[in-house]
Amino acid sequence: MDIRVLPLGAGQDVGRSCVLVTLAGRTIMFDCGIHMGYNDERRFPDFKYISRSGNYTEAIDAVIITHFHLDHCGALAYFTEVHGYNGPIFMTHPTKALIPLMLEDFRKVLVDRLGENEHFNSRHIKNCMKKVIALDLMETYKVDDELEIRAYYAGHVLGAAMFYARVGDQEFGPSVVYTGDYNMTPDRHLGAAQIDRCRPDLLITESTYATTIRDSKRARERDFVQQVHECIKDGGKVLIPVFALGRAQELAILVEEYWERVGLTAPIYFSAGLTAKANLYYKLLINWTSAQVKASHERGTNMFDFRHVAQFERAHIEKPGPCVLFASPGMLHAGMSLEVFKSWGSGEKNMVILPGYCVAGTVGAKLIAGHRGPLEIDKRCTVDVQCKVRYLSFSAHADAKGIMQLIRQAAPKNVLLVHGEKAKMDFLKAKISSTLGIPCYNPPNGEVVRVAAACAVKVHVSQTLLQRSLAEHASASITTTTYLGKRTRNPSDEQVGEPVDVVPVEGVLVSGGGSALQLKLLDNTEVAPAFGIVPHALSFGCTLRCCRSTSQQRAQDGAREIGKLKMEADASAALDASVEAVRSWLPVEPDYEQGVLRVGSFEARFNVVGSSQLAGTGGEPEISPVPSGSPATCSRGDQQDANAGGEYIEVACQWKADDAPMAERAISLLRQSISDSL
Amino acid sequence: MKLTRLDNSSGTKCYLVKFRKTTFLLDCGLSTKSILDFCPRRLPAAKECFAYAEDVGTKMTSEAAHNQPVYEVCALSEVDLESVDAILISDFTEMLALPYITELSHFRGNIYATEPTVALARQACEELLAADQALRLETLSTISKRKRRRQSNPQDAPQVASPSTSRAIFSRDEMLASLSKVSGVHYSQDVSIAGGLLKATAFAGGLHLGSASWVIEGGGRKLVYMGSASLVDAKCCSLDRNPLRFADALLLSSVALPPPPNQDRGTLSDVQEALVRKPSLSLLSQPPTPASQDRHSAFKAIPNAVTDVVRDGGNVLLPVGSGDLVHELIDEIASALKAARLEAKPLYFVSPAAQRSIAHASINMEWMTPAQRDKVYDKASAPYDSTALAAEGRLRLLSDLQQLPAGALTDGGCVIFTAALSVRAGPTAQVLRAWGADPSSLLVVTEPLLADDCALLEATNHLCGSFRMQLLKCVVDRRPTPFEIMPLLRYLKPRTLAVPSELWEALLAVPAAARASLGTEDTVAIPPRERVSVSLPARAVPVAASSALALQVQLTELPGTSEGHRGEGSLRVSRVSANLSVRDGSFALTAPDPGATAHFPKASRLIWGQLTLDGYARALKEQNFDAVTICAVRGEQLPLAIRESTEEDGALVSVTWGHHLGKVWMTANATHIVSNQPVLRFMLQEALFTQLHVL
Repeated sequence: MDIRVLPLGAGQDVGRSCVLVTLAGRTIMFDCGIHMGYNDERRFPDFKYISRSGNYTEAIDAVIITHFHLDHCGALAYFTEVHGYNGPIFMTHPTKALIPLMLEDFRKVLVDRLGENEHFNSRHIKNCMKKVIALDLMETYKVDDELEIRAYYAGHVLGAAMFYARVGDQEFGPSVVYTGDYNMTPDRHLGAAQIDRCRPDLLITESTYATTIRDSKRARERDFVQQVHECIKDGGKVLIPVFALGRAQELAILVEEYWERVGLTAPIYFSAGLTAKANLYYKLLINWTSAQVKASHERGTNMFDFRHVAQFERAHIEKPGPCVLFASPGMLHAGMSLEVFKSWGSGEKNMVILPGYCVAGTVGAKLIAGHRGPLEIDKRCTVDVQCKVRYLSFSAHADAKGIMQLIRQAAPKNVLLVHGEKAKMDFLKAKISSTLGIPCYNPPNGEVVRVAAACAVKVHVSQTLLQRSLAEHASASITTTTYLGKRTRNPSDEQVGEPVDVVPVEGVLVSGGGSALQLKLLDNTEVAPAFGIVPHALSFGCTLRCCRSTSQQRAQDGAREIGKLKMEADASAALDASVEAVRSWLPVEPDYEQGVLRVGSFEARFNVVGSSQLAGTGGEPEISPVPSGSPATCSRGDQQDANAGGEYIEVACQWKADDAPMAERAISLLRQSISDSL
Repeated sequence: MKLTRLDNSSGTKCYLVKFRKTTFLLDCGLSTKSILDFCPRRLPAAKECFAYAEDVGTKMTSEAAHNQPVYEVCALSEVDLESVDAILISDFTEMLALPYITELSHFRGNIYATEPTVALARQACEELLAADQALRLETLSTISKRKRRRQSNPQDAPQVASPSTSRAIFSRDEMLASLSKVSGVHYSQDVSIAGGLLKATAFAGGLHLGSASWVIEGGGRKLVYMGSASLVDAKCCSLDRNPLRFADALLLSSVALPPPPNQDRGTLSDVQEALVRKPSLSLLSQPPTPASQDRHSAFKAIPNAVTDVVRDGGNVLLPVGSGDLVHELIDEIASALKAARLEAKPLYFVSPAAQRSIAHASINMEWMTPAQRDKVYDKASAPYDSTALAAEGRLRLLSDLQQLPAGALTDGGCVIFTAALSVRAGPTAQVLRAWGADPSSLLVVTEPLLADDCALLEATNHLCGSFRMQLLKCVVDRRPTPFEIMPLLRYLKPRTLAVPSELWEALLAVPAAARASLGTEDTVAIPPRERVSVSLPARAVPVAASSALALQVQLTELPGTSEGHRGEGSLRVSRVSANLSVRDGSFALTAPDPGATAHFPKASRLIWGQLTLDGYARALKEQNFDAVTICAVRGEQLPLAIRESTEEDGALVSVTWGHHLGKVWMTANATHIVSNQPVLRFMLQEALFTQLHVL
């Protein structure tokens, strides 16, 4: 069974994340984002790949949004309301709370500031959010009878999650993990991404920093607050263009703490509207932040209650004196941040700190590129850039080390890279294949990748069979004993990772008649009673008889059925030797007492008899249960041989059909060893 | 499965379960009932009251046996806690004994509870510790005197709970250390117990914030523990029923019991009667056990009563504690006061956990109903109004009564929420002392335990008339009544139902018509401190078979069979040899390595069908045997191998092949082939197989 992956966006690219995954007949769309770098239809994922008919509700079983960043959710309302997708949408609680803010802001910037046609309106956003089912972390949600999804903590931004999806029962159906964006190191307000060893058939991971190993976050944070402090000391104003959610709160915590510690009084502002409301949400969603923030909330201080932070008003732009301003948007392409930049940008004492990625063409990108002097912002306004510009990457993405770490944690069978630049992806792909030995893919948008998923068949194994198989091999290993009694507590990852024990199982596979398509594996003993048949017992018997023989006769007799050997040595010694031979050959220690050897249903009775006794019973073949009674001759040929006289070793054998292969082998071995030792 | 009940019907819960070689505890409650054994020193007319209570036989004086308050823990000392793999907690009220286990025993397992449960338990513990402290201060100084008297007259000594289960309170550090060991889980999150032998999952219980029903699965069997279920629509997530269906065993302990008719505080009704005759105290008590939905609407009467009292300048005391009930009450009362234009009247929440409780209530919308969540999504406001009230300053959070503004107790129109453990000590008692004689003030009692405690107040009133407060008894018990649980059980369809014995009696008291056709095969009543076995069916275990193995299997039609009685169409079967790999207690089947065959493959074959002698003889003849003779044989003459399985008479078929001789004894369902020539044995068998089905 194949897993089919089709990136509609973010294939060898950053932006408009949208990956279509089909597992065992279920199609899931992971993320539905926009591309910030384009203004034409390339801004949205290529939905036409999904279905020719355009009936997306039929083609897709679930849409999963990993987090509230626009490159992951920006096209959601457009997809559901304009393209008419009507099925379920899944995301975490914070994402559900924050996406409307992001979409509304995006829509406003697009329509009100840039004067573009709107692709969707406020009503669309509201209606879209009604279709959303919010999930908790680690909650196993059954979308339908077969499809199951689960969210894992991803760090990155508030509410960001990695999603695990599986069709069918655990260990049976194909499974996939889509990471969205994640961060393997905890930051000021969020914990590190965590996933358990879910062994998906495919892991689709972001690869933004596929080639980077980042320095310590602490150093960057220290650098940041020191830059801000120096600027403030000189009486300058600091403009920090941020997007409303995530980075703004993280940096505000940093600045707030620093202000508290150093005792600064310069005002810190948040630009109006969006950011203030965002803070409200952050306060209510403490459960999704880092352990540190949660702990301080326990102590009664909510870290998002910024005491030094005040609301920014337009009048503050021209107000003299130092201050710090967090203003959106983060790329200085529109809105309040651009407006403030227009007036502060020319001040030498002032500083602009760009804490995140800026798309080419925006003012932010030009500043990062090192632009000084006159900069034309639009036709009416040119700013003479004299302020200091700092670019500090606070991007909350995993670096190469983090990505490898996540892959090790999840232990997938295949890896597929999205959300990164092609050249960097190729590097990481080679590294994953070589160091982890996991097949890795990085398709461009619109190219289908098929990954073979080990598909398992669900078989209901009966307890009887399971217990018997395990008990028979109980001594074999540790895990069998785990099952049978002794417990291993809290096995470490290493122990969990390896298949611990393998025991052979023999049973009867039954596929139910009629409608019930259930496979059962039963113990042999269970089959007959379960299905109302009376088994027919089949058993066998034979008698070996060996007497003194010359070496010539022995050579002749070798080709004949019953060995007939002259008893040259002590008969009982030969008997012991043959028992020993069989015993050493058998894998299990046979029962041997009073001349009777038993293995399973095979039973061999050894006896030394005189020829006179034998003669009287000629022609009456019987496998005697009592060897001391009349011994048997089994064919006329034997009887003739028997009449040759002398003492015999006689072995009366009987066995059930189940043990036939072993019995046949044991008999020929017995014959061989007796003849050898005589 | 072995189920041991460790509690003794004092309202707390604790079960020890042994299932699939795993041992785990379900809940570990702590009974605070013993607080009622203490007599307050400074309550009005305490001495008379004390004497009276003793006369009517309450246990109020059993503290004479101890010099400090003790609490009844379940019979943990009877359990080897070191062998316990896990503790599963259903509700925050049922985990207060945890510090005794984690800090004072060799327990090394994992503890699982939902995240809000842990937070609420922390608050409950803070209140318990404060109440314990207050009790130590309030305990009668006459203890030693009384103790001497008791010792001189041992027959009179009241029956004290056995010392093995009575413990002094744990320290705050122990409590914190203990709670930090709890792993917080989410609803529908799977956790594995004992390295994967069992899988446990919590589902919404509906009783409190974070209440959970646990589903424990292993070996294809399912055990459900409903420790904190509620059918009432509250603000927390409502009961998640579907995952609890079709359990092999359902342990049900969340049922509201009617008050026992013969309780040891048997004089309560006498007191009540006396009170009703006394016009000074208006007893607004609710009828004993209305259905929980009615009880819930009765709860709605509280805001109205509070508003009426406040409007008239009276004060209101609500000892409710820091569960999620306090937030619901604050919301309701604040909005009722607002509607009555009384929003200027101050609300106080006096508890060591007040601050924490309010902070915590604002961040748990994931654990609440969709309506509460929408408040967060749409308006970015906290799910409870109490958060905003506290932020605005309308609701003042105080850790103790000393912080109360001067005059607050005397100005009138003041509403105070306090911890709910006892009316005898702490802030509750202090407020009662201030307001007790004021007939315009109101005491609202919602806790069942406190309702019992009110007997003391009633006794006070009865004796000296010094307690004149109005009393509104509105016990909020949202657990379903025996009557309400029946339809739920019918829906859940457990195979075996296990209930505590006293609960079973209550269920039996339900009219037969409502009890009919529960659909359970078996019911087990568990007496206190007793162990019962619940037999679980051996179930097939779902195992993943690799596709390689699946491809090797060739199913053949099995004629003349049908699956049980409902079979239409015959079964398709195949003999399978596979490798079973065991990992974390779960299994997988893979194709055996082609090279490595087992040392002695068993030729296990299933042989069945109708055997006829004629047919067999014909088949032998077709194989060119030289001579085939058939003769009848009496049962006792048959070889032992056949006689083992059947008593019937049979037949002997003798054949010759060259100079070899073969004999076949056969009955309808057994055949014994004898020949010393292996090839001949094989041929005789093959001829047999032409007549029978072989698998």
